[in-house]
Amino acid sequence: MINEEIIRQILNEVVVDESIKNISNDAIFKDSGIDSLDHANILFSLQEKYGLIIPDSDVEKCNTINNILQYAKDHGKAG
Amino acid sequence: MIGIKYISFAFGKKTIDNIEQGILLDTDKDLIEKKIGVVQRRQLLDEEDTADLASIALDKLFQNSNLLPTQVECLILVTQNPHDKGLPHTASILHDKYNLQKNCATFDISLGCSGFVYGLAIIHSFMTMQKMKNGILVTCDPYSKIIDQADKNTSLLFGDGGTATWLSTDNPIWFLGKFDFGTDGKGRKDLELGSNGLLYMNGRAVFNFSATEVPKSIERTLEINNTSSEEIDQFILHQGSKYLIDTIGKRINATERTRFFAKQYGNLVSSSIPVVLATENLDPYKKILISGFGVGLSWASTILSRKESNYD
Repeated sequence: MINEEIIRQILNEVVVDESIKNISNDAIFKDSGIDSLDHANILFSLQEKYGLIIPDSDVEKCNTINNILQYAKDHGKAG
Repeated sequence: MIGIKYISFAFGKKTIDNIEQGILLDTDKDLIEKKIGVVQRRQLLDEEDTADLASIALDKLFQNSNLLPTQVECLILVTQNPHDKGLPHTASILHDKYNLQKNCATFDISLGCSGFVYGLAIIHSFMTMQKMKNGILVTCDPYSKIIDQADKNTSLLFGDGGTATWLSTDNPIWFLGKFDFGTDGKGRKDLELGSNGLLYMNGRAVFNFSATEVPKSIERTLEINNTSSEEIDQFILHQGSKYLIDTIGKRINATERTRFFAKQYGNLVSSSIPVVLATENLDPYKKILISGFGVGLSWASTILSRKESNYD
């Protein structure tokens, strides 16, 4: 099940820039230097490892750590 | 035994500065340099078409090797952007241009970024069945003909290139291993020609497909060839983007041996793998795993093994 620690772990695996790795839970990815490719990669890892399927139409809703957590809760994948 | 003897290549004559193009499309320089990885792209001139670019590669093949046009028994061309209107097939236009023999078979194959690897399997099988000694596999798929220059999903990626690969029974350099092929037709609309005649790409879906299927195909290819990952000197993958190559490299635990080479010319579709084979120094390598993937969505992988006698 997805929790904050797991999202941060995936974010740390995907993002190269060290300064981005400690962003706050409410920081919007795009404004924090996480580009669209890294964003897609983070969501891909969540889908692959935890079965959280996020359609293209919902990608922008999952633009912070907290928003991903909420999305995972709403879809029964958080815990 | 049939194998690859020589590969020649050509780039579109027009050079595009991708950083400048990125500024026009509000795309960050860092994203272009560090993620897309393409700082310069090559394109056809406005007055040129597919057979013109393929001819530059073929001219180089005939000039730089001892192959004569009269010796060519088949010429197979991979493209989804054929010359002019696509009828006749582009391979027959090249047949005419080089005065190939009447008993030389020619046909086109409709595949995108997986096309070179598919094409190798097809020409190898065809030559084997017909007991041919010399054949040429041409790749030339100039996407500038179908790219919307205002679409930053595609226009910052693709370049135009062509290659000509000579396969021969006479002392070839690279032998072909067993192949792994596959298709995910359900994803075909993620990379297609739209009703406006321009390329549409769902970048996220294509990334997910490639990051999922290519490592699996590589694993299967290693298995069917009884080869371990450690025995592969280089994984030369379709040069989709630097980000994609880096991601796949991580996923197969071979980042040092999985490199992006297309910085100066862009994603050349089916020509991307043979251009790397033709331009990089492969002398130190005995085994190379090649994997093409894209339109279809499809993939194809195999292992190229250098003839052992070259390692005296």
